[in-house]
Amino acid sequence: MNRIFIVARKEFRDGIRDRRALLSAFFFPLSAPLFIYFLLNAVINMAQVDDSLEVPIFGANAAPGLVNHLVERGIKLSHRQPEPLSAIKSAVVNQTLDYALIIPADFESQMASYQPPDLLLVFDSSRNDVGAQVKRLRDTLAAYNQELVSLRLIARGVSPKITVGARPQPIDVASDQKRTANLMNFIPLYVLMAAFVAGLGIAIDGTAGERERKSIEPLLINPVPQTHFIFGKWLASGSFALLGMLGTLVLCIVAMYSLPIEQIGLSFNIGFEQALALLIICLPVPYIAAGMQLLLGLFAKSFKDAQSYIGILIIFPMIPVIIRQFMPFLTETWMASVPIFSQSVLMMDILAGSPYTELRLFLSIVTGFIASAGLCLLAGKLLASERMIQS
Amino acid sequence: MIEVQSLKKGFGSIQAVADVSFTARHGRVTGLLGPNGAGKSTTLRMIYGLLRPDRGEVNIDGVNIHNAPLEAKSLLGVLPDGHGLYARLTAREHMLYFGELHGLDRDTRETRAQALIDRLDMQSIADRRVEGFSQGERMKVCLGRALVHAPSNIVLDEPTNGLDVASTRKVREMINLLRDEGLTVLFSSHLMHEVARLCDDIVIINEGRVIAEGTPDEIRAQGQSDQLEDAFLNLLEAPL
Repeated sequence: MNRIFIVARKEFRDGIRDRRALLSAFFFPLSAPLFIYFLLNAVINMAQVDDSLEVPIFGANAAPGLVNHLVERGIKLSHRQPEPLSAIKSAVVNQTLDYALIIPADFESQMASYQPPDLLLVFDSSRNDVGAQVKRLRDTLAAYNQELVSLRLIARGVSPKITVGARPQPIDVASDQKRTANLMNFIPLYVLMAAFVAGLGIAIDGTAGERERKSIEPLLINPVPQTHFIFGKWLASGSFALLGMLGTLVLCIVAMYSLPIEQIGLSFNIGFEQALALLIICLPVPYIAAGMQLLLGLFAKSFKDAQSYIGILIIFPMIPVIIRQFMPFLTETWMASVPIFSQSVLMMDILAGSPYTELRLFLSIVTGFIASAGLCLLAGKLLASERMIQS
Repeated sequence: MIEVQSLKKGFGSIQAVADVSFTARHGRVTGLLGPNGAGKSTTLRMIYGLLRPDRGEVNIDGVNIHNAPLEAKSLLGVLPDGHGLYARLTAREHMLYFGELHGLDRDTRETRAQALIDRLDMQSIADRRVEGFSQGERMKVCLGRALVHAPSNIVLDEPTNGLDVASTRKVREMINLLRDEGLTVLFSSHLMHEVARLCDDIVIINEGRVIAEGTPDEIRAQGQSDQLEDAFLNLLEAPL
């Protein structure tokens, strides 16, 4: 037992001294929440209705009624001299104009003869940043159209209601938090990925690295059972991964709290209890990751080999999130006993504010640690095999 | 004392060791001599318990390496073929780590490490990380960590391979010192002249079998030459 800690302490010390590996181990976990913060912040800013909406309008003089309607609804207009359509189009393509509204010169005369005039709205739908403004402008124009139609009907003694067949009334049962969770599936994803990344260097160094630098033979000659070596390396690599993972989890929660997501009608309500549950749920993940990485690392004869084998493992935490994105499903209790999958699913549930049961938490933790211990025992068997010292 | 009885080991279709028996005694240096590929490293690996023989057994001071591996291993100090070190640990930390793995308490391992540092003239490099050490310096670290638990038997696999003259001399001095302290020293080499200078007993193996065994004088007699080198070659060429 004691030897396990001796091995773990040595691997830990060795890992901390490896500045380059340390940087790559913690760069991802610590930068992901920052990246998310800036990305979501930008999304929120884009989605917000811009009060200072200022519409470039061509030929405004031709339609004073429409212009009044727009101005009454708080839309500022930037009047432009008429230009050929092609010139305006290329201005939008070049982004010298974000979009443009063009009123035909014969607007009034067409209206007078009940010929619907064309209102040209030139915009670029591939631009996400002006999408909200264009939508607001279109809604305002549609409302103007509706008002016009209603007035014409009333003038002829017809109720405008006759133009409405049936009114769809959407009733959205998703709570604010649930809709937020959709946006936040990246949290379990990044947290679990951090657990797979942060301990990677130590796991490879302690397996394929030992083989590559030929230090495995002197090590195994010591009077220590092979499984103790593995458990020591597992403890060191798993603890590194744990640090990276906790850092990511905390930073993600902090980032979500500091984002003004209520401005887009969403909310983030993770209290102390939920945060604690999240922490408990993901606790086994770094140790499962370490077990997988040690086992695969022993198959590799060099650091490079190991990196390419082990790189593949990172898809494990991604699978559940992707499945849920494309094929939504409800969590069932059996899912809590599938390591990695259970952590991902339970974390998503908690972030969505769905109730979680102690049974599921318990199952998830127990199966997680059983899986990682099993991986270590397998790795111990492999380490004891003769192929370890043959190059 | 290291007793080796009728060891046999094959890898797939290759018979690396067919039949090897010999005894290395306390206070004597025993040289395992043979050309490359004769089965020296495989034999040594079975002695220090990293390979399991297909047949035969190994006893270290009467303890069977396969029945009681942990006890037998603690009686052995080994300088294996692989001389890998941990680049980010210092020379002293290597010795302390292996001392810990052998279960030495803090005082004992620190005292032993310091004694080995003095003995191997490593004072100036003891607390430097081993990254960038010369071959000779690396060898000293390997020797230090193999000896830190004060074993009564020491096994060295081609200890002078790749070393310069000064380091080779240092290793030879160390071997003589350990013998004088009463240890069992077993080392392998493919260099007859090295074995001739150092050994009290010589075991010559070829193609996985012992073809001659005895003191240098006895080997000279068996190989029918006054020169050990010629005797060695005569023995290798003789039909089994």
